Amino acid sequence: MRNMLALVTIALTALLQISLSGFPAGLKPDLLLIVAVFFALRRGGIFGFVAGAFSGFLVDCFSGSPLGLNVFIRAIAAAFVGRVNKRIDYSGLFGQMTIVFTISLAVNILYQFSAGLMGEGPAFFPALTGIILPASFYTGIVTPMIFFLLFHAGRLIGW
Amino acid sequence: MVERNARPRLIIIVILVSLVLVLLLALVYPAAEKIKVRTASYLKGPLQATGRFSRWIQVESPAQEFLKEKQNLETKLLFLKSQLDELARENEKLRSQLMYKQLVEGRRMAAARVIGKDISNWSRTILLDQGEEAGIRKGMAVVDNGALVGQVVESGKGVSRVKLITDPDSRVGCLIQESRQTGLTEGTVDGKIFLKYIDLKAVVKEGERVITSGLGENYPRGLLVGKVGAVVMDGRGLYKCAWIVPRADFSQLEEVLVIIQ
Repeated sequence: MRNMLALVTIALTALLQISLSGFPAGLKPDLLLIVAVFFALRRGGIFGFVAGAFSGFLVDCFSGSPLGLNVFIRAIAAAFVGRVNKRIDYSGLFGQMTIVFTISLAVNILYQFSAGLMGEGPAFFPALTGIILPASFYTGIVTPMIFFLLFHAGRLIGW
Repeated sequence: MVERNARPRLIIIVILVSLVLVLLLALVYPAAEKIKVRTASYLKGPLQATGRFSRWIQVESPAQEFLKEKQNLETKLLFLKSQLDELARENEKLRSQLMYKQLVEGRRMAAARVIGKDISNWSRTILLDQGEEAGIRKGMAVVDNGALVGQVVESGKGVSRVKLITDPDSRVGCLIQESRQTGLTEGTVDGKIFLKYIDLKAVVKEGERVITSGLGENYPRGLLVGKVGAVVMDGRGLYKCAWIVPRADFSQLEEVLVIIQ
């Protein structure tokens, strides 16, 4: 049941993410990645993997990227976070922001690299300055707020 | 103890291998598009509800409505003027008139509401609430107030996805209306439009109208794209380039028209 609730939360986050607009240069924080990392930190590698794969599937379905690319990258990233969750201190704001910023950076670089192999997406340096760094920064900035909401929702729901 | 540790690892390996297979299948199998559109159609209802809610909280005053109406009329006037100019030029040359007439008269449109924007930062697409049942097919051009917005890239039951011309992977063959120079537009990572491959000897002025050239059969000829902004030289000095100021406001897209050909 709590697994289902977690997946429903990810689906609702996707709806919120689709409705988001108004950030500079059209970029927006990656709320789905934040939620996947949160579940990976709380529940470990296996569920992190599932949460990452599901959020990646939604990203692929609601974007122009090929189906499977984000599933693959996000599942691996979230599984890795879940695997090392015992060694990560995410109780403080700075810790939360740093973890998600780093994972976002890694996910975006992997995406750029993989999309490049398929002949899609922009070149690395314009992408680094135009998408990867600013998007990771926005994602890191909003992380404490999302973590706070998820912590408190978790107390009520029990994930 | 060893078995307890080995089991999760085995599960991860199995899932990883299956994911790689899914990825490979997605690359070669056209059904991947259908899966994407079908999943999007399942969330159509909640997306429409979210849209209705956001429109409900954005109650417009009469003055705002007048302003919006004025802007719409101005846009329509500009589009008609552009069409008229183009028609006059085509008449002068006595060759493309028939094609243009066919474009205007033979045009059948399907109106659709924008129910979602792109979820990622890597591509610029929108989701429409109309799909195959409205006659929308992959490759059709999409306009807003007479200005080109993009092209349908996926179409399914009740939903379709449009790749905007600001997407970094988007290419549109264009014609600069006054100087009659052709080029190819590309979207940039920051959502702008860049026109490439303009002849080195061409004299292109800022403010000239840019329309679709109709070359390449992706877009019909004569659709307004925008105006020429700054004209720059290609880095290697092989051709001229220009920044395009798009006519469509991509951040405010609510309802669009799909050109059914």
